[in-house]
Amino acid sequence: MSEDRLFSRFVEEFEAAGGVLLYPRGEETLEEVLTRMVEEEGIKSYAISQRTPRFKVIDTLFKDLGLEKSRDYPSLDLGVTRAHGAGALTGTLVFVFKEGRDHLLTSLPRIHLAVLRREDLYQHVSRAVAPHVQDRGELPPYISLVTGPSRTGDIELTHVTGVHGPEQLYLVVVS
Amino acid sequence: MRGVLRDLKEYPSRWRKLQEVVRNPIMREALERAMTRFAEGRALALEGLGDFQEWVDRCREMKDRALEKSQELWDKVKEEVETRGGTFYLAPDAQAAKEYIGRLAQESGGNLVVKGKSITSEEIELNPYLESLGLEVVETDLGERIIQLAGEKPSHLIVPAIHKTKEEVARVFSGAWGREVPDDPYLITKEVRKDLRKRFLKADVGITGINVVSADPPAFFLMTNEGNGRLCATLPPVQVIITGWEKIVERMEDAFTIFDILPVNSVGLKYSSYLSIFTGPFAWKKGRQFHVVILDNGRRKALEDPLFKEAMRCIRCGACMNVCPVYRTVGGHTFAHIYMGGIGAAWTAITDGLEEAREVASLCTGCGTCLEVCPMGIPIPSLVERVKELAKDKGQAERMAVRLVSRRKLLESAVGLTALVAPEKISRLPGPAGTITQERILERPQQPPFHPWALSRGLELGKGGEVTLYAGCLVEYYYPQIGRDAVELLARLGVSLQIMREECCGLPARTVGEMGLWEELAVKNLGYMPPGKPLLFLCATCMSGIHAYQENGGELPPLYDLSQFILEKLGDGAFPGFYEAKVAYHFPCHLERHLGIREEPLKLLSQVKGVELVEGDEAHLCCGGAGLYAFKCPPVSAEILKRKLEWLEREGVEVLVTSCPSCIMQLRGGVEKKGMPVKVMHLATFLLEAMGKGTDGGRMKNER
Repeated sequence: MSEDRLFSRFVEEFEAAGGVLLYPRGEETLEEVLTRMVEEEGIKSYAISQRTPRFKVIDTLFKDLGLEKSRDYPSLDLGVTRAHGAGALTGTLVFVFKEGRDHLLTSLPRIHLAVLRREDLYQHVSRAVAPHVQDRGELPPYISLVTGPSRTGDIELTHVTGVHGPEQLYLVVVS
Repeated sequence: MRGVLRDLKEYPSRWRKLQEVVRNPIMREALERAMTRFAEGRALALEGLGDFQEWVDRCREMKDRALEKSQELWDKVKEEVETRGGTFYLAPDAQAAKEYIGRLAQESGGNLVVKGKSITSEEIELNPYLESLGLEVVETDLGERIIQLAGEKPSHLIVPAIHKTKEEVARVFSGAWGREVPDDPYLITKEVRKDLRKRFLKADVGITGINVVSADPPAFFLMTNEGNGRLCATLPPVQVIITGWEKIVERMEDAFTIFDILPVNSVGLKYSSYLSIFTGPFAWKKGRQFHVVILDNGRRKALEDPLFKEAMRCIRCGACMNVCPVYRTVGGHTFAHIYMGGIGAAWTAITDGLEEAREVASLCTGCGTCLEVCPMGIPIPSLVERVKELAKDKGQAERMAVRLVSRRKLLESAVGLTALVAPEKISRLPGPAGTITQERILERPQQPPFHPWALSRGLELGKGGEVTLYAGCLVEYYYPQIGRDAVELLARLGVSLQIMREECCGLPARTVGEMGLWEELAVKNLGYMPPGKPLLFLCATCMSGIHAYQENGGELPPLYDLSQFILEKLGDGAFPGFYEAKVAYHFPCHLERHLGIREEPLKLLSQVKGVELVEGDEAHLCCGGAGLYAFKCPPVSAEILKRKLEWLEREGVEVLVTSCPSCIMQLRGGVEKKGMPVKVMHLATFLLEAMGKGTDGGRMKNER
């Protein structure tokens, strides 16, 4: 599968599972799409998992938009984390956790925004997991594979998202 | 004899219970909706996966390899878990598992336990045990939570509360929370999120099941859609995993193979929302504990049994239930002990004992629809038969009935007597037996039997017949006209027939677990069969029964269903007949799923000029007759039949053709009871009529 084909397949599956690709999308800048997300979702509070330059950009934007940065994860509107990999065939994101509270940002806030590097995209999700489990001594205790938002059909098969996890999953892909 | 009387005495009350179940419109509609949705979703999602049979072969091989060396694999997992600072406990039985988990919970110092959906925990009845220790146990899957608060049991493996309407669900939560809850699935879900979120954050212990465990590297895989599983596993300070010995695979890739097929096959989803992989204590907070409890509870013993070990491949996708005509009719409260459906009978035998398993098994019609969707290639109908065989003291009445019908002399007398005293059509049996005739009439057996007639026509063995006909008991004593039609038809196609001495094929004996009788009949029939010459059948069930002799090493001549034989005989030529009507073919379960004959009947019928062939999924559904099943579980049998009849009505079918006299008995019984303008015919009769009584072709519409 060519790289472009791989990416378009991933987007197709990711969105079929209910995720929303924010960026890249048409001609819009990252700032524009994030601003729109904040407005549309009525986001007031957030937390961010990393301090790398890329996350700094997002952090600064949210501060400028007047959002409150909080450590009270269970009541947050938005959690922002890095996705360590992705599988195109199922539209699945891979999150690898060794320690710390970052995992809470993928599970507790109402909305989850993931940031994925394009080079971490593989065809099958197992290939995206493989690099993280090669070193047996350093096996991460918890790897979370996420395909779309939390959902249920337990009452009369009516589809409802956001049962125990995020009701919306957004994604930014960077090169 | 006492067992037989006990059974017979129990029948009416069993029937009443089944009657109530099949008449529960809410349950029926909910099941119908779920199963239709899952089956359609599955078909769609499977398209993306390529050839299903290749998946089955791959999964089976991979899983068998792992089970073969499961001890070694678990030793490795245990070592790694302990090296990483977790604990590993192999629980020999349910009691030991419960006590161990109870101790873990008590030692945690707290009293709130949150749980993810786990059928293994239901198998050991964990919740009531933990509650008896004074712990508060909260199920966190939405469906399980509804069931828990309602004090009920799951009715579906994947959608546990499928039998409850939104209004009922709202009432359950209103009762639990002491305030009015709106009957809106979205609002209810959001309220439950709030309520359970508090509990997740406060919980002392989180217990989850596990779908698959890989040994290299050691990793525990948990798949959910709601995200409750991962919260149970990651938030509380004590993480407990409870899963069965059979869940092991060798490599991580193998686990991923299972997850490629599991959600697709289960509910038609490419992937569930969350697949969480755990390898040891996740110490994001100080002192977090990681405990693994592996349950034996009969599993390792089952691995030593050549048949039961096949059930150990089950990945609990539930697809077998989604297509099961019985499950569809009665649901998981009735067709289950803890494990549901036909596979549930096998699993109940493994984990809970034969008595409970036999109850579950007795509801299976043996139609084999499950065989077509099991991604692990588990021979579920054979397992059901094995359960019946082993549970010797149960089902005595059934066994007695089978012993009767399996003996030619006895059967001949019984049928002869019935033919003497019974009216031509019985539309209502007296007393409790009336349940049998509620949705179908019974026909009087036709006289005289087939063999004496055939002998009078000079068809005896060794008189130069090129093909041997095995008529079967129903053609012999009940519908001899079908046999006469077949003889006439084949004569006109230029085929010389001979008949053989016959015993019952043994299939009825097999389906109630009378394996001694089955073997005895097989030996006799094998002795009577003239070697080399094709053996022709008018009954799919008999053909399937005799086909199975090969399992015991019996050497058989080439076996032919009538459609196969005629097509081969015709070669490139078309069938010389004419029948102007809307015709459908009912595929007998034994023909299609047990013998794999899928194309020939339709190919042959489409060659008959004037035939407008009606096809559809319903053509392949079990009719609910299933031999004695219609007499053993009449309410279920009747409901299964109804679906078929509704299809005939919808499609305006005028003639229903099939190749099994047992199906004819059921289908014609239903059609006539409802007064439907449908002729139900054996293929032999239909083809003969198509050839016309004379030599100049078949029937025009206005002749019927």
